[in-house]
Amino acid sequence: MHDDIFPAAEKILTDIENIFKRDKLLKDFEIVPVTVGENKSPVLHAEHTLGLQEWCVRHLYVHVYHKVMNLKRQQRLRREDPSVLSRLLLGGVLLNPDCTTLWNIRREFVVLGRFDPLTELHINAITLSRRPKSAESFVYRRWILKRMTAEPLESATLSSIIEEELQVSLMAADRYANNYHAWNHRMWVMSHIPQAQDKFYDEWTTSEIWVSKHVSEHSGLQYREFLLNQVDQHLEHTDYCLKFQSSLESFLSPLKHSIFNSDFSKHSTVSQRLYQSFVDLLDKKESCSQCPMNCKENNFMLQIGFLAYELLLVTDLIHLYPGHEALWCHRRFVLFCFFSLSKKISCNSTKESDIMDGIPLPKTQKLCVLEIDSDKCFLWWLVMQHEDALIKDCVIKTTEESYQTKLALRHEKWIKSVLICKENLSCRTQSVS
Amino acid sequence: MLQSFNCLITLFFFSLQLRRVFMEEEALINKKLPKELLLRIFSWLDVVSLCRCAQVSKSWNILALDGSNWQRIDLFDFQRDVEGPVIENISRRCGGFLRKLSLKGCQSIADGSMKLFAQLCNNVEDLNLDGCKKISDSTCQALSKHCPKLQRLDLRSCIEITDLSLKVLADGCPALTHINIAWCENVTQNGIEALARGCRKLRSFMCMGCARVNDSAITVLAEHCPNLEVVNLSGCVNITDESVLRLAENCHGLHYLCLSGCTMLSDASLIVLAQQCHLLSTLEVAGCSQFTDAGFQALARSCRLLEKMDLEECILITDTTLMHLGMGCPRLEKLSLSHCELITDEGIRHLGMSPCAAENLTVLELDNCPLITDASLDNLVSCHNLQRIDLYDCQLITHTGIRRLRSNLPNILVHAYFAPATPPPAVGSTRQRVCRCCAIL
Repeated sequence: MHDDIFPAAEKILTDIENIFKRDKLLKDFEIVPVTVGENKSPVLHAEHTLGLQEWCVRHLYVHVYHKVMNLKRQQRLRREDPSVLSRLLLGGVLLNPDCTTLWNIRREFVVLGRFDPLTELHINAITLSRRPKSAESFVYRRWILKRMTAEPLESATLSSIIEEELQVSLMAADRYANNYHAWNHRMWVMSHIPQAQDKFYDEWTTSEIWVSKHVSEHSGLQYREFLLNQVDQHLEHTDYCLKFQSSLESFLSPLKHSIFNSDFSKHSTVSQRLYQSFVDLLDKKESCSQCPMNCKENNFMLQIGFLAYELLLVTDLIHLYPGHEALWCHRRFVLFCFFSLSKKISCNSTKESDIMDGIPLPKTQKLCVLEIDSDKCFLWWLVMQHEDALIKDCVIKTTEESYQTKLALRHEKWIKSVLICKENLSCRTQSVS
Repeated sequence: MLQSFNCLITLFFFSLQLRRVFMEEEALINKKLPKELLLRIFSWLDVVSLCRCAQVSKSWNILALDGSNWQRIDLFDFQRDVEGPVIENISRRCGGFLRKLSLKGCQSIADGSMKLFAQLCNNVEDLNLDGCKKISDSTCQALSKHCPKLQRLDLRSCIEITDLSLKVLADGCPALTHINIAWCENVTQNGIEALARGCRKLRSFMCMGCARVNDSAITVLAEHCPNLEVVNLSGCVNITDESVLRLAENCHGLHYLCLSGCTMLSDASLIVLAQQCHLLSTLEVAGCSQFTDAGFQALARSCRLLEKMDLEECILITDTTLMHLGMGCPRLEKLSLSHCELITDEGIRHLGMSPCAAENLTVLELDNCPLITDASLDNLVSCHNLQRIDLYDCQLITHTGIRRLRSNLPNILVHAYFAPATPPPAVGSTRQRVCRCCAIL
């Protein structure tokens, strides 16, 4: 019945499909705002971008939807001419990637072996180029990837797939602000495809660039938190050390000006050793020929390196772009990481930290157990030096009513009430001069 | 025959209304009608009805599933469910009764069940394996060994098939009249030559997309099979004028010829067809870009029975071709001129005035002819039978022109890119009605 209303629909769908077949590098789909139709194909194709004139979108989608749903209702989907069906489904998902039924039919045909998974990934990427926040598209993408990685693949294919996934999620994140789905997808790829772990350091650097450009986006920062959580899996890569040397040095700079006055004898051996390596690093005493951070002896060095780098990055961003709450939230996460690490160090490595195991603490414990004796752990003392400096700086530099001051004060309050008691923060700083 | 159908209808009536009666051991219908007659009635039923009847009672089950009722089976409607064991059961039940079996699109059918089929159903005449991609040469070997009566075989898209199949078919099935090996890309010259030498009764030969087919294969085919009527060589890119010459010389009965995509052909092919094949009714030459007006002029003069012509992308043809077709081919029903960019209103005017247009022309495809204007549509007003006209991308055509054509030919289907008129929103009218109610109250 609907054929009669808009006979050109099939022709337009064929045009779209032909472009997909011809242009393997197609990367974009857009709807062009042309409201008055002429007797001219509404399908446009230039510079690997597919365009569809707006006037036909509604009629086309109505045609596709009714046809597919009628076939589905009559259970004739598998009997329909595959070429007709494939162009209907292609048009359908392009125009409305949020329609689960269409994706499910595609799934069915992938299982039957009629659709090629690599082509599916391409089509899916193009639907994402117009609707970067479509959850259905991402779910389908993960489904395909799961199927593909279930079988052994050549390493070249696999690495190209990973490359493509990272690019697609970055494209989606760039095109739609606060695109939780895109970053979620990226996390999924990093954690579900084992070979993606090789990209860990690349991801660390690229996400830094992205985060510095999008300071208000928590989803991007959350991805960085995800990476930070994975750091302990990458401690054997000692080649990272050199990259963190300078940031570690500036992180340790308070040691030069202040005295950490507490009794060393009380410290655990791990803590003592760590302190010694910090001092060595500052004095440029090279204990091990290649690695200035002496990380082979001390596993914590690299972990501290990552955290220090992040802390300094957030400090810089907070100074550069005042008044963005997402940055402060991220800082809290970093502090929390530091906190559990210093707890680990001060309690000796034999006693594992009970906070970060993923097991939720009982509610009463949640707020009060998070205390740490900063007398005993100089690492935490160091971190507090930085926090103190930052908060002071923010309060002095900006006016009292400004949002930045408000955020800084709120941050101080959070530290006092959640992580540490008030006295520890204020009385531990003694200037040398 | 009419009586039988009446019987059938009554039967259905009974089976619906008197369901209770069947439950009893000696139902009325079984008492009144002898088994032979019941069997006769069943022989008119389709697969679904037979299976339903088989569930009625034990005696009906035996009668309905009797092999004699299952001479012609088309499983296309059950495509997705058909697996190997189904074919094996059908083979066992029908045995020698089976004449015709269609397994179109049954992708899961494999060699094993087809071998059993060939052994049990020796009398099969018409076998359709279109799209059974798992089928390979060993099926054809079994067919050749056990089924000498095979007349029609459709192996379209059975991509595993090679020359070997055609050789064994040539040896074992001399009665073959129709064969379709479209998209079997492994088939070469050797296979086709062997087939032609063995099956001299061939009337229909389809090998779309078999790019390895060449002139010498077609030459042998034409020389050995003079009865050929239907030939489809579309997409056989290596074909030259030589093949068409041989076909035209030997097969005078040719009435369907498809040469689409054979880009090496020239006017010589059309001229030789015009001289030898006067019975030609369908000619498809899409993409044969070397054809010119001269070739079609010769063709139009002598092949007066032409009904369907596909001239898509014959980019050199002009209004002259249309003028000659209009004069020479009064039976023309379907004409495709897509992408013939030199066609103008003048050509369409000749076509519109010709006898074919007024009587027979039903489908006219003019998409991507940029010079066509509304004047062409006005010239087609006299074509009473015109049912569909394609005007995609003819940018000089306007809405008004189409509306004028529609007013003269109300049943015509116009294919153009124009958006359909949006139906008036139904929601608005109901709301209005409520308002009117309110007003009255």
